[in-house]
Amino acid sequence: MMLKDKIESILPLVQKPARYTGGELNSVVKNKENVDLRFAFCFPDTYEIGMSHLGMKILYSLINSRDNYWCERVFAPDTDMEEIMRERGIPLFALESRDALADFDAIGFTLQYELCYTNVLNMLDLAGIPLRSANRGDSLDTPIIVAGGPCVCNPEPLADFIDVFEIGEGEEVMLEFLDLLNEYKNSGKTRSEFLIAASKIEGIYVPSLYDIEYNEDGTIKSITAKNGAPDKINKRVVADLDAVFYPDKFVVPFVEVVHDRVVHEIFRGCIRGCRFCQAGFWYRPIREKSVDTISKQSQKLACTSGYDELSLCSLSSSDYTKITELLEELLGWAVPQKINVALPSLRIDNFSDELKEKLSLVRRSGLTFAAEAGTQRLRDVINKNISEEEILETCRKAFVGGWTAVKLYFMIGLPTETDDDVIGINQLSQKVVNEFYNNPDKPKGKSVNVSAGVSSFVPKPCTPFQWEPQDTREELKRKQQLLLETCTSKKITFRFHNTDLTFLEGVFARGDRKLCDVIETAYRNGCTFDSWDDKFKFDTWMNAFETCGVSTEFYANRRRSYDEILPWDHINSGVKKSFLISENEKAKKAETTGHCRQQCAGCGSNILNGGKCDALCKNMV
Amino acid sequence: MRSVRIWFNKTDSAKYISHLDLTRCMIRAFRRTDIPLWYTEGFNPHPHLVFGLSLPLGVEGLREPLDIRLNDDTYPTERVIEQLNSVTVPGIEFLEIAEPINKPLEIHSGKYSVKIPCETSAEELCKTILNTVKNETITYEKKVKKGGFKTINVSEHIKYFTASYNKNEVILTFNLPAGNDFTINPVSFCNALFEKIGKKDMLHRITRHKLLMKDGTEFK
Repeated sequence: MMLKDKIESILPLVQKPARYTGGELNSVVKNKENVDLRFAFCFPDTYEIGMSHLGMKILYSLINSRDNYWCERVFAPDTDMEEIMRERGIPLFALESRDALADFDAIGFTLQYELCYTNVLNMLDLAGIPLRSANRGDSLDTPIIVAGGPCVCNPEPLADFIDVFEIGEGEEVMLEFLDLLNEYKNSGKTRSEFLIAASKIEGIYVPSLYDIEYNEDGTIKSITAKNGAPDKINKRVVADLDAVFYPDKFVVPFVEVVHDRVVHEIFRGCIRGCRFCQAGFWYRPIREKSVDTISKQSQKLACTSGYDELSLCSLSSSDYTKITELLEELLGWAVPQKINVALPSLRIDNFSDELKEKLSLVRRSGLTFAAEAGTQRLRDVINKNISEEEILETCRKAFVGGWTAVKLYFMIGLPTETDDDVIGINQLSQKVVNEFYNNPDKPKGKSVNVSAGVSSFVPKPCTPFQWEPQDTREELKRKQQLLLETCTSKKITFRFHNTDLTFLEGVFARGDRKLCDVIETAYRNGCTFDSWDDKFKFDTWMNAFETCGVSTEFYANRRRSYDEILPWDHINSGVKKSFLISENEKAKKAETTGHCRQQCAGCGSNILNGGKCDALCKNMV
Repeated sequence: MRSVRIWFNKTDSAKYISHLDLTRCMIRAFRRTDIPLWYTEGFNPHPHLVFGLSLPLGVEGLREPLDIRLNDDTYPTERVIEQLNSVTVPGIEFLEIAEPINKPLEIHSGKYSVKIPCETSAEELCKTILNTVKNETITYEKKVKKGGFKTINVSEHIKYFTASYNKNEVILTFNLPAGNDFTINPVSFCNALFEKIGKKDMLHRITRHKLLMKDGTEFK
C-alpha cells in the first residue's frame, strides 16, 4: 500500500480525524516538483494546541510567500493515532502533502515550553530521523533539524538533537537560513559545510560548533566556539513591526482548537520589568505596531477567514500607547460585522464609559487579574508594580459592572517568600470577596466566586532571578497546604499547579547539555506529552535522572553565584548581565524599578535594535 | 426574511469534518461572502442554519440539504451558490439553491453505496458479502445515552441491497433508515459486516447519494 492509502485507511479508526487530513481553508498546497525546498513546520504538541500558535501562522505564510519554498504543518499525533501509526509502520507525515517527513529538506520545531522536549524526540523518531545530530551523516539529504521559540533562550538541553537553533524573532532569519540551505544543496555541499556557513548568520546557533568544558563540581568551565562560529549569538530582533511580514490569511481549522480566532500582535516587549517574567526580558526592546497597520491587517484576516472574533495579543495590552484609539478604530468595523474584539490583560480603569459599553457588547470573557503575590513587600520584590488598592478598585468596578466571578493569578515559591506572604494570598482574595458584599447594588441572590490560580515559581534564564534556587517540591506542597488550611471562605477556590511538573520545568529551564542524555533516556522509557497531567510520568523521569547520574537539585534548587558561567551565557538576549544583577540586588532589598516609560532603566536590549526602543521615544528625548 | 434550501456535497477529506465542526465551517464560509444571512435577535445573535440530516463521520454525501434564512428578499439566489463556491473548502461544493418543499422531519431513509477497492478476488468478495447479507443476521452494539448498549439488527431494516464488482472494486448499494426517529449508521453496518466475513479494517468508501421520504420518493 502507498503511504497515502495507508493514511486513508487509518483515519476512520482515530479520534477527530480532521486533525490529520489537512485541506483546511487557506492551507497551502504546492506542486512538489516545482519547489526548491520543502520545510516541515512541527509543533511538538497536539493539533488543537499547535493550531492556536501565532508564530506558526506567521512563519507558515512567510515561507509559503516564496514561490520556490513550500512549508507544511506537522503536529504531534495524539496517543491513539501514534499507536496505530507505529503498528502499521506509517511514518510521521505533513498535513498538506501527506508525504513523510524524511522527504523534506528541513524540519523546524517551535519550542514554546520546556515540557515538550520528549515530543520533539518522539516526532523525530516517528519520522525515522536519527535523534542525535551526530548520527545524521554528512549529507544534506537527511533533513536539517532546526528549532526556535522562546525556550531557545537556553537551548542547551536539546543541543545534541537539534542541528540549528534560530535565536529570537524568526521573520527574517528563517528566510536567510532557507536561502543558504537552498544554495548549499544546489552546489552539492556537505552538511558540515552548511552548518559552518549557517553559524555566520546573525541569530543562528549551531550547537555542534561549541565545546563545553565542565568543572569538577559540574558547573561550566568554558564555552568555546569552533570553526569561526561567533563567541556570542545575538538574538534576532525585527526593527519595524509595520514593515515586517504579517499573514493576510490564517489556516482555519475544522476541529475546535484552543484559540480559534483572528489574533493580532500589537506590540513586542513589555515596559513593566516584572523580575520573574522571562517574556518581559526576552522580547525586549519595545516595538509597537501602528493602529492603521493593525486595523487593516486584522480586517483582511477576518475577511479571509470568516472568524467572528478578533483577539489582540501582547504581554500587556493596556500599555499600548494608543490603546483607546486602536479599540475605537477596530470596534468601528468589527461591531457592524458582528465580530467580537477580545482583549486579554486589559485594565478597565483606563477607558471611557462609552468605550467600556462598546467593549462589553462584544466581550465574552470574565475578569482576570494577575496579582502574582499576596503582599505588597513581595510584589515589590518581583517588581510587580501594582498596589492592593489598584487590585481592589478594579474588582470593585467589575462588581459594579455586574461581574460575579473574578480570577486572580498568584505564584508561590518566589524569592524571599515567607509564610506571611503565602497567607497574604488568602487575605487579598478575602478582601476581593468583601468588595463584592460592600457593593450596595450587588445582584440579589447571587454569590461571588473568587478563583485563585496559584502556580509555582520557576526561575528562568535571562531574568534577574536566573541565579535563584527554586523551592523544592516538598516546600511548594507545604505552601499549597498552608493556603488551604488558612482559607476560611467558601467563596474562594484554589487551583494549584502540579509541583512535579513545575520541578521538571525548573530543571530544564536552566539545564545544560548533560540533560540531553536524560531526555533521551526518559523518552526511550516512555515519556511523551509531559505537559499533560494525565500523561506525565514523574517516576520514569526520576529513574532517567538516576540512570544518567544527573542530580536534579543541581539544576533546580541550587543558588548560582554571579560569576558562575551559565549554560546560556553565549546566547545574547540583549539585556546586559550587569542589569540583571542590579535588578536581583534590588529585589533582595524589595526595591522597585519604575516601568520603562517612567525612566529608562538601561537594560541594554535596544543595542540589538540599532539603539531604538519604542518605550524611550515617548516621554524622553 | 425568507427561507431557502441549499444543496451541497461533502466528499474526499471533507468527509472527516464532524457535524459539529461542519456547522462552524459553514457559518464561517457565509461570513466570507456578502450573503445577507439572517441572525437570531437574542442577546447573543447567531445565524439560523438547519441541516437536513447529519452525515456520520467518514461518510461522503453527494446531495445534502442545508436550510438557511436570508435577510434580504431581493438578494439573487443564484449568487448564493456562486459566492459560497468561491470561498469553500476542498471537498465541499455547493450545488443548488431551491425553495424547501419537504420538512427535514419527513426524512426517513438514505440511499448509500460502499466501494471496496480490491485488485484481486473481487468476485469472491462480492459473493461472500452477498451471501452473508442474504443468509445471516447482521447486528451491532450501539452505545445509548443512559449508558450501556443496545443491539441494532441491521438485517431487519436494510433494503434494496445489491453487490456487484468490476476488476478494481466491489460496489454495494442499499437503503438504511435515516431520520429523526431511527437511524442506522452505515459505518457501523459496514464494520459489522466486514468483521463477520473476517475482513475487519478493510479499506472502503461510503457515500450517501440521497435522502428519501417514507414513501420512497426523494426528499426535496
